[in-house]
Amino acid sequence: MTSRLAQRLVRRQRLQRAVLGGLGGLLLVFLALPVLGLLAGTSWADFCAGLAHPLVWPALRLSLLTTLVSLVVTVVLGTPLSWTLAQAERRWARAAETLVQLPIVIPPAVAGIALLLAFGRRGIFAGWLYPAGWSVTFTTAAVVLAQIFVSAPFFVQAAVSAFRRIEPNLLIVARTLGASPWRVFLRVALPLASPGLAAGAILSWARALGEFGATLMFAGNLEGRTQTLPLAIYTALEADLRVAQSLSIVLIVVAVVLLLGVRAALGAAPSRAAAASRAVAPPSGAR
Amino acid sequence: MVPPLLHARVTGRIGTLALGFELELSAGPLAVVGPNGAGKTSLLLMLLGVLEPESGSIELGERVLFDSARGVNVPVEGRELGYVPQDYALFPQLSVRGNIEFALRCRAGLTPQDVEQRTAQVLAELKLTALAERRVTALSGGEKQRVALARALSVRPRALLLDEPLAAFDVTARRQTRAFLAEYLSKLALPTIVVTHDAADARALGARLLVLEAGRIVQTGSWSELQANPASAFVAEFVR
Repeated sequence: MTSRLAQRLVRRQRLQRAVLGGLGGLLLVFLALPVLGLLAGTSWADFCAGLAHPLVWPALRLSLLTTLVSLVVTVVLGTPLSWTLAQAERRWARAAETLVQLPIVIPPAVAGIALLLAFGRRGIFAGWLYPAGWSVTFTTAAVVLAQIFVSAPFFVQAAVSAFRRIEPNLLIVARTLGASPWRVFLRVALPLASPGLAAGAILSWARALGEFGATLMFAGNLEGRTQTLPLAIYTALEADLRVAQSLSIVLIVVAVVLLLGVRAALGAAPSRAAAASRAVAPPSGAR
Repeated sequence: MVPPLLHARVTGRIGTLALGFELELSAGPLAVVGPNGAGKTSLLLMLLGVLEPESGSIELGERVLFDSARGVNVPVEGRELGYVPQDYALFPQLSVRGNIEFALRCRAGLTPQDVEQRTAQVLAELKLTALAERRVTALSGGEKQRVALARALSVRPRALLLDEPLAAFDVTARRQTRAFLAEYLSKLALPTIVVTHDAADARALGARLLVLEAGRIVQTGSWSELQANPASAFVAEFVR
């Protein structure tokens, strides 16, 4: 190869890197700026003053309580659903999987309307659900239902793929050894999928913590009863911007911690590729 | 103890492959050989009960494991067949001892003392006692294979199925492990099926060979019988 040709190739490679890197960098900056703006625009004094506002603690307490309950319900019911979907090969399972993913793509406001029409005072099940006239709408329970509706799909999606990543031979061998289907699920599938389940649980919790639209429509914005952190931010925006800023920073810090948690959980997951490479690890003679 | 007779005559469909075979074996390993995609692993999975045949029957000693005519289909966990897959499928979250204890705890009626005693026994039998507390992910290929064998045999299966037991080894280690496995399997006195695509492995491990091509048995017999009278171009090339 002539040196001139080599130089041209090197130049072309540099140009390609500069163009693609520049385009990608634009997006990166755009994504980072709002977070920086929030942090830079809030002084320590503002932050403390904001947190001292009477809106803050009830909202924080309510958010923690409701997301904890919705997380427990999601994991307890979502794990069996995910295992069933991961094991089933029939067409109904594919359809069910798509159905479960639907809340991820439908707008939260639409989710709120849908919840109202299903479980509201005038919803299709009202006569059966509320013979005494009481209804779940505008209660703390409605907050939990809205959170489960929008966040459970994230858990189920992660859990199904965690269960699918389990080497099928591990499940087959367990059964040839005499393990009942229960034992295979509890002692083989669950431990092996646990990093993926943990990551899914964190993602789903983060989504529940940020839930706004469906909660507002289905549960309302009642201080102490249905006003979670995002709703408190919305309310504070009209009264005292510092409160909104402080709460936003709290949520961002929580989000970053959760994101690191997801990465740590997935980093601990033994990937199939790694497992395969271990299977062909150097044999004893080569040691 | 007289080893039970494993007898299977089944047909079935796996994807686009129509698989049909009849085999009968007592003690002494049978090597199932054939080109890629011939249905070798599917044959094992049908015997294990993972894949369901369309018709036919599978019997092990006096037990009927599958019989399409009578609607019998014993689930995988009730078949008492030991299985060592190609990747060994050791439970990665458990130690060597944990893998074997897992197997023994699946068996009803064993006290903790039984489990402990039997674990120690199989560990010693396969020279794994020194490795008992190791995580299986930290083992060499040969060690993994011995753990997989120990785990499969710990529950006293009535037949043993091995899928490509030597595929993960390089040339040098393969020779040693082949010799170990050939000796070990011949002493077991269990109906044993070894799936392999390698001629040297088949010759060393199998007292008899069964050649599968495109889901059908094209020939069965000893190495020298196949050599004397190969039934297909693949067989002729394989035993050359």
